[in-house]
Amino acid sequence: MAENKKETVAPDSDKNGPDSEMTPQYWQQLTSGSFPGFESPAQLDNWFDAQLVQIYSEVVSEPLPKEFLDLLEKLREKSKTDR
Amino acid sequence: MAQPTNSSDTPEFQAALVDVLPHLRAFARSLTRRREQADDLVNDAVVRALSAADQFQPGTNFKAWMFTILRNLYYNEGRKNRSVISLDDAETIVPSVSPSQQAALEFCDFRRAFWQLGDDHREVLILVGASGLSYEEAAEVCDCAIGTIKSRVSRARGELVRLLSGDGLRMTRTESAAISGLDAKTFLDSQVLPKPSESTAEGGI
Repeated sequence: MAENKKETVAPDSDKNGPDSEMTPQYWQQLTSGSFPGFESPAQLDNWFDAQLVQIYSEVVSEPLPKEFLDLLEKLREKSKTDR
Repeated sequence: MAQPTNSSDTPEFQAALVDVLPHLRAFARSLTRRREQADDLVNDAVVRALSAADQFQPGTNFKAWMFTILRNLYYNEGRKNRSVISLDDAETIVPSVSPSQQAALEFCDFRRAFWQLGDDHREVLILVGASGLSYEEAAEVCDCAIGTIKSRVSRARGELVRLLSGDGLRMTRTESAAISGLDAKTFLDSQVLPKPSESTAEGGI
């Protein structure tokens, strides 16, 4: 499934990093299954987080729809008239 | 990110709102799995935040506060029941695999697995793994204990392993791309074989 995962590091991986003091259950599941290419739970967690960041970033980087731009414009106008 | 006050009339509050909008859309998409429903939810969350701005405590995490409002709207107003998605459509695109496309296809499969997860699992993975919130902040957003968040993250990752290890992927690549907001052309472009000069690139589509 995956090769050379060492190069994939998710942002903020330290902040919410895996609980290194214990081996997560899904790692046991992994090592007994067919999901190769990871050498440690931390490496797998970093890969998961990198994929999640990519999913999240796809939406964050989208241009804002017109309805939001209109809403923001109304906010600005309201702010001006309130002052 | 701008540091807001607790008055919706201030430029600081509005600037913070503008900053957080893309993140709200991403979190809402992870909950609803539908672009239109997600944007409706964000719109309602913004309106709610403007009317409840005096409840925001300056100095606390504005993004977490907005995520909490959005999540409460989602779970309290019956929106959850409308987020049903068909997984029955036939897969229409089966890209051929070359070694240089391995990372892209892995991401496609990860995305398929992610969108098949239950609400609780998608939510907690996005909050902790992608949005930049700490476990503590995610626990506040979800109104539960930090230990509960950690347990959910672990179970969610276990479910991902299960889906990616076996034959549990029911959603097609095109379906999962559509939920993530990619149109058909963008998705197809992402499947095109890379140019020779790009053949060593890793890590994304």
